[in-house]
Amino acid sequence: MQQILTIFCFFISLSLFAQEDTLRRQSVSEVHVKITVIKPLVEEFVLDRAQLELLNVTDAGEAISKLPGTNVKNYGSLGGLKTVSVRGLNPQDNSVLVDGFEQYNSQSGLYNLGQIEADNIESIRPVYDLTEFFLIPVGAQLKGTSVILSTQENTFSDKTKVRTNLKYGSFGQISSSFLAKGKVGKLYASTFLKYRQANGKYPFSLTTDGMDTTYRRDNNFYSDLYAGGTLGFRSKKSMVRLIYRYKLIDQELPGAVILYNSSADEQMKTDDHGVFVDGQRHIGRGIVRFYISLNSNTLNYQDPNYLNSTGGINTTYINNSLNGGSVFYYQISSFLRISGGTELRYSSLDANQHFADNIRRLHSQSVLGLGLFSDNRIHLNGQLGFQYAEESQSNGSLSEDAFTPEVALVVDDLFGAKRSKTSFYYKSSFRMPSFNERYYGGIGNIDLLPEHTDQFGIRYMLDKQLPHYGLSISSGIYYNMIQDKILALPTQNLFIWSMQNVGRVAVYGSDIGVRFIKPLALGPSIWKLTLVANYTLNRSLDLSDPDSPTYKDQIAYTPINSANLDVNMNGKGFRFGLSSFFTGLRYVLNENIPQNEEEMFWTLDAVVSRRFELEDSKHKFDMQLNVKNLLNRQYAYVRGYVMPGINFLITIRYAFN
Amino acid sequence: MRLISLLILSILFFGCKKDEPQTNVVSQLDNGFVVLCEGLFQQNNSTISWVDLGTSQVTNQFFYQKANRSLGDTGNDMIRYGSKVYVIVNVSSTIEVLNASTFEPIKQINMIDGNNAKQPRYFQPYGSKIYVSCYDGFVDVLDTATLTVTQRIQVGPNPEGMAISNGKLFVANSGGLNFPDSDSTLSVIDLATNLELEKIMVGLNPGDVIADNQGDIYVVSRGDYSSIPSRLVRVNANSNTLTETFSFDASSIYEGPEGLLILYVDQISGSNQLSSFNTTTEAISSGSVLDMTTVTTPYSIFYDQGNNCYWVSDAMGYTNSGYLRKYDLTGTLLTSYHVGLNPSKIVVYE
Repeated sequence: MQQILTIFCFFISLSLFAQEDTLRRQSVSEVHVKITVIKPLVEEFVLDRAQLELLNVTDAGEAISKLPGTNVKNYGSLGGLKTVSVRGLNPQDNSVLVDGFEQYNSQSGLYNLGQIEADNIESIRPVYDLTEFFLIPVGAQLKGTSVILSTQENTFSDKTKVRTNLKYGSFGQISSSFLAKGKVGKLYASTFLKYRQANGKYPFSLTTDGMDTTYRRDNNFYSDLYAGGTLGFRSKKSMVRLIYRYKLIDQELPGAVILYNSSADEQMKTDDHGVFVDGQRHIGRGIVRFYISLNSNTLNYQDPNYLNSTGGINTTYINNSLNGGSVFYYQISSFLRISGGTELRYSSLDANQHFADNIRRLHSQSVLGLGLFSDNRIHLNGQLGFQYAEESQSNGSLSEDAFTPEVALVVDDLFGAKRSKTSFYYKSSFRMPSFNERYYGGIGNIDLLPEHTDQFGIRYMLDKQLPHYGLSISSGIYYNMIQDKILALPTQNLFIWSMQNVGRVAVYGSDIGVRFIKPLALGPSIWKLTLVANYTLNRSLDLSDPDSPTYKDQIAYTPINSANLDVNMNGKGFRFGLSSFFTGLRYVLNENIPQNEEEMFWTLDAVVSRRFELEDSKHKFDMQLNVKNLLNRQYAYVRGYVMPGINFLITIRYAFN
Repeated sequence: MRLISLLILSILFFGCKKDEPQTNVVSQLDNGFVVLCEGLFQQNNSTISWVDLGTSQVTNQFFYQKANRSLGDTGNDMIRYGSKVYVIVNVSSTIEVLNASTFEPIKQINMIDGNNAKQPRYFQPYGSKIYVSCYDGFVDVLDTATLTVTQRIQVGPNPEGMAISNGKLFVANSGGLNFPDSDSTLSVIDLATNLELEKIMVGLNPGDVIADNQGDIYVVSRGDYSSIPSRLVRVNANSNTLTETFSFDASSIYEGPEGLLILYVDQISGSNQLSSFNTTTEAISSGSVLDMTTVTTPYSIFYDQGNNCYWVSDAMGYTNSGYLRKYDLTGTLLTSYHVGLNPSKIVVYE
């Protein structure tokens, strides 16, 4: 059935190959979430569609790991959990925005970036200093950091576009997707359907008896079905969208590799509905946006081998959230603007076991900001956030509140460096514990306090676009102080863990990203050489207790050094690329001793593709071969969660414009 | 560009790591002890350390050195019985059998039944058998000659500690994986027939079990770690009846010079107390046996009659490498040995 669906999806799109674009084309600006009156000379270090194609990545998690200052925790395999932390902050303190809506799961506080296919992404933008992003939801504005993703599915298109692809790869990977979008008059519409699956049975080796023995990753099947659509209206001054997304995931959970015991049999099914509505309107010299998002997530977890009296675990969690708010921006004069917004989020969690009953949270967040401009070169932005959360469950209730200020000074062309941008910022953020952290079985800790973070940073960007080369540099240095950091720690004994607030963590470091593009004449043809390199230095130090053996040690799973280098040549419809990715030594526990070291690794991937264009570029075909982990390295981001060795993926794409 | 220069300079920062000293290969075990360090769940980092009391040298990867492979995930119990040392590795679901003199590996017994890991927990030797409590609700009978499991005895859910008295095996059924609906029973098994005779109610979540030489069985019922306190109870091994529930707090029990040593860890205040319990008078000492300010996280206690001392394993918060601390019988700290993660069981070589 799954294979039939995959093939069906592909052939629907083929039947649309020959359709003419009968819809009226009109040049209307795209939906923006970022508004600046004075357009910056230098954009943030954005990964757009063209750059993503050069990076040889399969999902949003892999793509984000190639941005400076990010650290992706990857539990391996197709659809496996991938979370991102930016500049040493917890993944839960990083907001993931997809098409202008914050992706939020009050149960875990995490968003799995492994579930967004790279083919579906229009752009990815890391945001360290949010004071220029006035129209994103208030909740995201008040988070420590953000990653803003734009997908192909929910962005408007003035042209009729059809996209489809078919993929086949190692360990049973097969997937297909179909997307169509266009407009009639001022009405825009898009629809999509995707399916992918993998048996996940890849080999890996372990050293036992002094020899490398090959094993197979079992209990690792994954499938997801993803469907939805967007309806929208856009005029010169207004825009309204209605988005619906449905996701059905069926996956086995292989867990960590346990020596001498391969009896893992856990499974998880996720059924997720999302309805998103937003609208924005220009009013005079300002813009106002309203947004509503409704998420309903049902998660069923089964472990038939769990040794309890009922013969295993079969737990269903129902996690609902309703989020609504409004944000605005108004340019009062040429040197002053005001912005702000307020939102209210209601979240609930019910489960048939392992949780407190009837968990409910009402979370109100507001922000008010001012911007001062001088000389078209200097911007001073400041904003003050306020949050109030009230939570209740069967055993009682509690409330939290916090003010979180933020200020940024942005200077263009500092020290005479043309097309450069330098920002100095301070940001305070406040993270509510997730429902899992507070209430899950014996692990949750109802007394858990919110985590507070203060960030200080300097960011520098340079963009040189000359006829014979293009150079972009994004770099930063930062210092963050995290108070009451939330960590899982054993308490009664090593089998009884509980979430705890642990003192202080200081994070400092720097990151630099460089992009270099140069046209090269090879015979009669012009080829384009693209180099993308990033390096991140991150020191995340435990400053909780001077008497602890971990005092001033690097926090677990934060590599001190990480880097990537991508080299691509493309021309005459061909593209050849090599991507290398390096993650330095990490520690699996906070104590920095040899036994806790997780080895550094670097991987090398290769890509070859060929593009054909027909009828004045209306029809584009693309065939691509990705070979991942070309050197067949054995490695893991997280101890026990082994990554696949050498593997391949063949992709056939068709695009109609 | 000055900022870029600053960034490049900042790359010169590097992290430091703490090195482990090199150790020599030990061929014959003497005048020292082996320490089972449990490691942490799903980290495959259980280890065994060898502490040479003559040279004070610690070999922290002793099992790996001898077996040329890792011990596995979450070591749970270790005993020396006859000419062998037996080690339970709970999450890996194995029993390692080693030569007691040389520590050379003899056999790895796989404790997986079909696709179900039995998850062995504790040993209790008796004659030519070793009884092994398994978290799947059974006690396995291990033949020490053939090193095979010859019989499975069904008990209650998630059995933990065991003790033998009056020809019977007493098994604590914790039901820990049904938390908060833990079990409250002690299974009584006739060692002549290996059949369960009955179950005795002893209080919520029973764990440690120790027999004295006067026909009593002492059990710690650990409660719910919240409103139901952890208590010591006494069971008459002749009548199989609960005879007393003591009013003081008790987290775990160990054999001691007067009968028992009772460790209580107050999770709220973080304070610890180690008391002596006289199994003849059934009275607990008023003060602490040891200077507990010298222990960060007491994890297990071993009364070493031969050396007239106490060995206390200090788990250092459970996520840091631990220490074996030696105290004299007045409770004064004599010395400490830095061992692996979560040291729990020791076997002494005199």
